[in-house]
Amino acid sequence: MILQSPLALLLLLLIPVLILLHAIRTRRRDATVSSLLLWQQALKETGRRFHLKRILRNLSLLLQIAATVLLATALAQPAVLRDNPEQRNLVLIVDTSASMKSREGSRTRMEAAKGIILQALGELGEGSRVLLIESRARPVLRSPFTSDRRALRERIMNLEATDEPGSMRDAFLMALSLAEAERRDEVWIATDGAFDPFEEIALAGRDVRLLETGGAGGNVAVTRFQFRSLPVRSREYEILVEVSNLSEDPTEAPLRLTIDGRPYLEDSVSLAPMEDRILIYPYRGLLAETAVAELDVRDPLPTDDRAYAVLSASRGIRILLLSPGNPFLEAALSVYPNARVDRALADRDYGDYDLVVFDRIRPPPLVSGNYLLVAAGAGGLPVREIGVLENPSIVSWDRSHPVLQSLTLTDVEIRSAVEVDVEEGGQILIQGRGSPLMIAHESGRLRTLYLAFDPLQSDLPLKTAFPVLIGNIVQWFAPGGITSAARQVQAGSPYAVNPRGFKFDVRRPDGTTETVAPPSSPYLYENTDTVGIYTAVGSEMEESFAVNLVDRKESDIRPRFQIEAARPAEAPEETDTAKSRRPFAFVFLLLCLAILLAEGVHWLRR
Amino acid sequence: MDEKLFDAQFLRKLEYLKIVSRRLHRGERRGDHETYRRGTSLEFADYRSYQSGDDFRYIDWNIYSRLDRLLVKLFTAEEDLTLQILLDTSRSMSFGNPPKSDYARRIAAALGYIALANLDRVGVVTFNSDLGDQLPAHRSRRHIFALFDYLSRVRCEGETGFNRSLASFSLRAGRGGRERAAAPAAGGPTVGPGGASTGAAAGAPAVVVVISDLLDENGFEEGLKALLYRSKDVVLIQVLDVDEIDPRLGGAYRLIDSENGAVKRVTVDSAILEIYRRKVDDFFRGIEDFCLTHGIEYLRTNNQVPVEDLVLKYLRQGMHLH
Repeated sequence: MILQSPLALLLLLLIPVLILLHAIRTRRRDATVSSLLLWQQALKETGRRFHLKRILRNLSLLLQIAATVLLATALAQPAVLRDNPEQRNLVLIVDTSASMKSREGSRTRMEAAKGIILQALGELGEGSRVLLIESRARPVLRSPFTSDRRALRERIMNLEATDEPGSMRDAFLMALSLAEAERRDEVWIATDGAFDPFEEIALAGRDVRLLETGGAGGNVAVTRFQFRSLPVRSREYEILVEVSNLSEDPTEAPLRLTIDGRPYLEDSVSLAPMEDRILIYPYRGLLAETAVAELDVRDPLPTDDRAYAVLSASRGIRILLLSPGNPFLEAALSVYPNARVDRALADRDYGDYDLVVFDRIRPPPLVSGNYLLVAAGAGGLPVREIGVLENPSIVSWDRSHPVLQSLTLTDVEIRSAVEVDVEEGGQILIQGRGSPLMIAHESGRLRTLYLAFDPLQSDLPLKTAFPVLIGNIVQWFAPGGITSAARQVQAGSPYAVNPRGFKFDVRRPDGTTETVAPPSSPYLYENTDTVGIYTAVGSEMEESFAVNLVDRKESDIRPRFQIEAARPAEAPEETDTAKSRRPFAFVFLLLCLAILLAEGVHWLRR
Repeated sequence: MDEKLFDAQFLRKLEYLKIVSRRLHRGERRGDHETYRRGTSLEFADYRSYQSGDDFRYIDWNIYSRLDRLLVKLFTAEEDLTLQILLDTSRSMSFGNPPKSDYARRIAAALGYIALANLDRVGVVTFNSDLGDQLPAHRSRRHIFALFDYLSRVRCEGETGFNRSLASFSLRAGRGGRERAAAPAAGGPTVGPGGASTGAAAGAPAVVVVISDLLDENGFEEGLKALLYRSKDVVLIQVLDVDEIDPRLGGAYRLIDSENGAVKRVTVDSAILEIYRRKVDDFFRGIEDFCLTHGIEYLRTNNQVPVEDLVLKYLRQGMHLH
């Protein structure tokens, strides 16, 4: 038997206290005797020899001592070690990152891993329980602890390798958090080992077992594919392609670039072993639909041989500016080629706009949509205007917020601002002396940004921070709406969609369609597990974006992790991993309760 | 007479008993008891060497003529007996059911009655922390009423000063003896009618009966030795309550000393009772050893033994009655 929490035995120190309390609290009856002469002689002899015994004859005390001992033992979590290697709990991590799609021979690493997993699980006893975690860009719990072999087998067989880069460290930490350390649940990792070692797995030591699949293999991949517009020339862009030879042999990789379905260029890249080559190609013309960079190679992992980009938004963004006149603001909003700015003086239907700016015009109660409120109160928002503040200098601002990134506000002078009181739900972005100056608020499909001062009443429009601030604001309200960079994300990463309705469809690269009901706007679409072009189609919207692997580490499909090498050199311990711990603290708890019950009965009868 | 102490039937039984002393003591008046005092009777007892001051009349001149030695003839003299009862009236004697003091007073009354019925002198002295009132020794049958009256008025109070009280009694007896030699009529207060021997009661050779529970933390030995120094014939009657011998207690108690109010906390269980009984046995054995060593008659009784049985049986076995 072992005690898993031996410190709980400190509770036994209560026993002397109990004895002391009983010795003190004994209620004595008065009895008059003729003389204490003989009693004193008797007590001299009994004083030391029988005092403890006399106290221990107290039934109530004995019961309390017994209850204390049992409680302390229960809290110490006693367990028995059983030589039963067949029955154990384990957490199984299955690597479904892109490298598991690597084909070796007639089957992929994933298919090989399934066979190894099922064979290893067959060695477990009937009572063993398995928890299943899928390791991909973010770890996913696929099954809680279960001893249902059929269900577990089905779940494992349903696992497929994704196009996502892996994050084995996150999956391993999740496994450790779900495993019971005291019981020393084992962690099995079914992987090709194509990830960098991390120290946590070494610290976990001998409770980790590697179900390794795959072997050494070289790979050539497109590891970067980016577009950028040249700032001074309209309709001129640069295309960046990075090609990596992740093998021990030199290779020649033909590269073909296709834009909008038409071949744009073909190139051939000579790569030394483990060489990365960055290629930059100019492009001049209108923004096209899609671009594809494709390597014409035969390697085990075709997923990273192609990279995609969506070069333009389908319709740009629409901004409604309700203002009595603000040339600085109008100019700042109009500078973006993808943005269409409509101006008005009064309320109108602004449901179709990506952003509505109320410049010193009090808006109606707002329910949904994106609103920038410039020195204009709004009913229903957590901002209450209480007065006017003169010369409120800026004290601090939240540099981590997207709206305030890459700008400085230290030297901004403000003549006057609206003094506001921020209620719960409001996030202060700029704190002025005496009153907040910018407050953000998000609630469901409503997103607002409240600016407490009129830029015309400050020198902010004359600062370089102003266009940056406006750009950040527009980008925050409509992510990707004003940039002409390619719309692409890495597989496994979410992509922000700006839906205009309560429902939209996503056409996936494999031809399937997924219907999404976004709870907010923008909406982060997360199911980007396959490389290719995705298209979100909804009410008056159609937005495409590309998903690529473009991860050099993931494209390096050579096994880099060896579990034995990761383990620290430690003296071999007397292993009990082959033994299962069976706790039986509940027995002591039940006995403790029974004794306390008996003590209660004894007390009532006394 | 206190009807509660004795009934008529008990008194009639006592009439037939007579106290004798194993030793012979000199008495103030001639009586039925032999003494070692070589007296004026015609019964020869012994010779001893002449010592200065001896009466020339008792020198055996015949022996002197033959042996050239002065020897004095000794004759025994028959003299009366004085029974002195030393009654413990400390507060511990009021303990018990019936109280030990009642039991002790009955013994004292019985012994006194028997002695007076046999024309012996009977005196009573109470003691607790020191000597208390005394009933001077008288030999009149009418003295029995005074004796009973005295005993009925005895109250238990104070702590036990056994050694001190008995030493005081011995000292008073010795002083009384000397005073009597100088002025035989001198003495203490006279109680009751008849020819009283006042202070001489203590000083006279007597059988001294000590009735006590002997529960004195300072012991009892020195007091009894003090009596023996005065050549007293001492009878020790220890009266105890049955609960003192075998307590019927169980549980946690605050034991309160009936004499001084001292408190002792004790949890009484079988183990401590066993030790207590062993201590009681040790206590009794100590008394018995002491009395055997010093020639003291020792009787132990408890308040559940009928007084008449004690007197008729135990005192008979003690050879002080015939």
